[in-house]
Amino acid sequence: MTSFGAAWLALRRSQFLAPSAVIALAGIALGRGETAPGFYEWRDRTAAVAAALTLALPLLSGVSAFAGARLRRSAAFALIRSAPDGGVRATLAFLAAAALLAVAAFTAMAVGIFIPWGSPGIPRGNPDWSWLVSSAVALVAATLVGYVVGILLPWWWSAPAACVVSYATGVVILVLGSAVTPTTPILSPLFVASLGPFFRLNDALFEARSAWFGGCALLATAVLLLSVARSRRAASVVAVFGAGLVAIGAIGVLGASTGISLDRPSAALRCAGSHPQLCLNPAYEPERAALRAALLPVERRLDETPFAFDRVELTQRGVGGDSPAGTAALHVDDFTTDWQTRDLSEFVQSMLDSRGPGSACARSGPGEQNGSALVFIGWAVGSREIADSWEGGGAAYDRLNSLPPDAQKAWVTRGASELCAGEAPLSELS
Amino acid sequence: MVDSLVVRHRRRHALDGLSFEAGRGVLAVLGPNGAGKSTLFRVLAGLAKRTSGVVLFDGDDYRDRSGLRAVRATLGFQPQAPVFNTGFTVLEAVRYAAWLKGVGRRESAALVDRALGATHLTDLASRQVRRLSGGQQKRTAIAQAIVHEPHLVVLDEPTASLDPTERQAVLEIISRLGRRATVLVSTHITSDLAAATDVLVLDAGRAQFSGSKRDFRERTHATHATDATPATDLDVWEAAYAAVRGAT
Repeated sequence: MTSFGAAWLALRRSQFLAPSAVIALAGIALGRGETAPGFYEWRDRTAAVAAALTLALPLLSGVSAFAGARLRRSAAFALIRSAPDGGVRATLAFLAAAALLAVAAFTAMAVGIFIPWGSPGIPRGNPDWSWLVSSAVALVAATLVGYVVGILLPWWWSAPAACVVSYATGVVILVLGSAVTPTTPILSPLFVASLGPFFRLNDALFEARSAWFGGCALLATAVLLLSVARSRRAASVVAVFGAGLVAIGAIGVLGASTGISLDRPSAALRCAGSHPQLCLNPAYEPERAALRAALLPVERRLDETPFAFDRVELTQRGVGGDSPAGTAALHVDDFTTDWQTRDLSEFVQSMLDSRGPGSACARSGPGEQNGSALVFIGWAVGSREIADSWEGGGAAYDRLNSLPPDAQKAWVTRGASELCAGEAPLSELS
Repeated sequence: MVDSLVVRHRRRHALDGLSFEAGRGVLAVLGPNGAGKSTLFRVLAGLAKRTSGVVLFDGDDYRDRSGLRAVRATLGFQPQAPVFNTGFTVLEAVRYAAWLKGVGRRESAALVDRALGATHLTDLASRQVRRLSGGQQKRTAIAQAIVHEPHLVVLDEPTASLDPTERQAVLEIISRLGRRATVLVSTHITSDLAAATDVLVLDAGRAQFSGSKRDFRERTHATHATDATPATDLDVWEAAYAAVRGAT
């Protein structure tokens, strides 16, 4: 038997082979949105892999802690430690098996999510190799750290503790990641979910993050070599490399100018159609028909009013500069049930907020919208429910809708300045 | 050779100035629970730290890094509770032990076959260890311990919890091992002395008796001078053990 054979044997006969397969399958199911149809359809496959990772990271860490604790309590542990080298090769073989399993689980999830398998539900997105590699390395690091926790603390609670702590760590990183400014370093493997397919990732940052997580994995290996094999020499060599990688990664992460390359679109928008012309990131091409169908009624209602638009760009929330006249920006978070009402109402609301040069509200001072604007928003998207969320709005909506189409447009045109100030001219409807 | 060995766990002495020598043959280490047998065996296997004292095997000193490495290379160890929690088959478990001991690929197959044959496990080679009986698992653990043909074999309670047939089979294996190696067997079952050539009796971390089985047997005559003569070997060992412990 060779060292590779020993690692392969440890992998084949591993106790967490079956649980890891289940975790990978669950990750695929979660990523593909099949665990709760209609609850959340992932924006793209990169985000879906990120979701799968939120499941796999803590669970694999917990399972490997369980396996480590079982190994520590077994006779095999005594055999390993009574080996001539004190168990250095055996420790490395077990860790290699755990790392291989984590990589296999990640690969299975990524393949399971990225390959269409006949399901049209998930847009392709733009998987970034630097992000994928750094996520895989993060999973390996979490698995090895879990293994070390199980070996050092071979008690019943070490597995659930590893699971909870790694999940909590992930959540903290995710929360921090969601609150970052472009200059704040981001370590989270999960924050990519907020990017959508619109912008290229900062490869340098993710390469640095791969080094950082790789260093953590090596430090975990060093701890195990010291505690199991009591080999100071081997542990110190690995620890030096690990600490070096952590330092390089930390410098790279802290020195990265931006976390997200917001000034670098992943691809040029593709525009097609007219009234309105719809411009999409290529990743959203499969959704073009649905988007167009949702926008058409809004376009017809607002046509020949100051809020008319003949071009719509689907962009990332919170991003997007001034649009030329006649261009409106639409943000779609996800294609869940009733996304049309949610995102189109926000689309109309953003027209009232816009101070861009092409906007109907460009000359208005900053106004605070009161509830009456909901009548206009509800009318534009054809939703009485939205209008009725303001007291008396439902009745005003009914009166506006009872007018002939030309009169409706005239009401909007006459009241444009009031609408831009945040208030609908409801007196005209009484 | 073990000289003045002390192992302290917190404030308690697990071994308290223990000294003895062992050569080729089977040294049975007798003693009640808590006597220090497992601690002694863990020290001999290089798993537990000494507080003080000297342990030598074939001139290699456990205190030296190189000495400990040399001893480990020629040491076979069977832990007290050989729990196999992985899905290894018997063949894989023994092969894995050979790899741990640094046996090369070329020699491995022949040595593994020999170890399986010596422990009567050849027919069970493809069975998962966790599906074997307790006795078969013990024999697998012994096969792991002897696969690299060690000169020092340390077997921690190899006959515990075995039925008489399995115990007999294990004792025969131990007897054969003793013809070519130094074998230390810990037990609290006096009938296991059938396989022994020498005896060490431990109590509270100290040696109450260390010598040949013949000398150990002599203790029986000393105490049974006025009593009825023991009828069987087992009675002899029980009486000798009682005599040694009673003398303290």
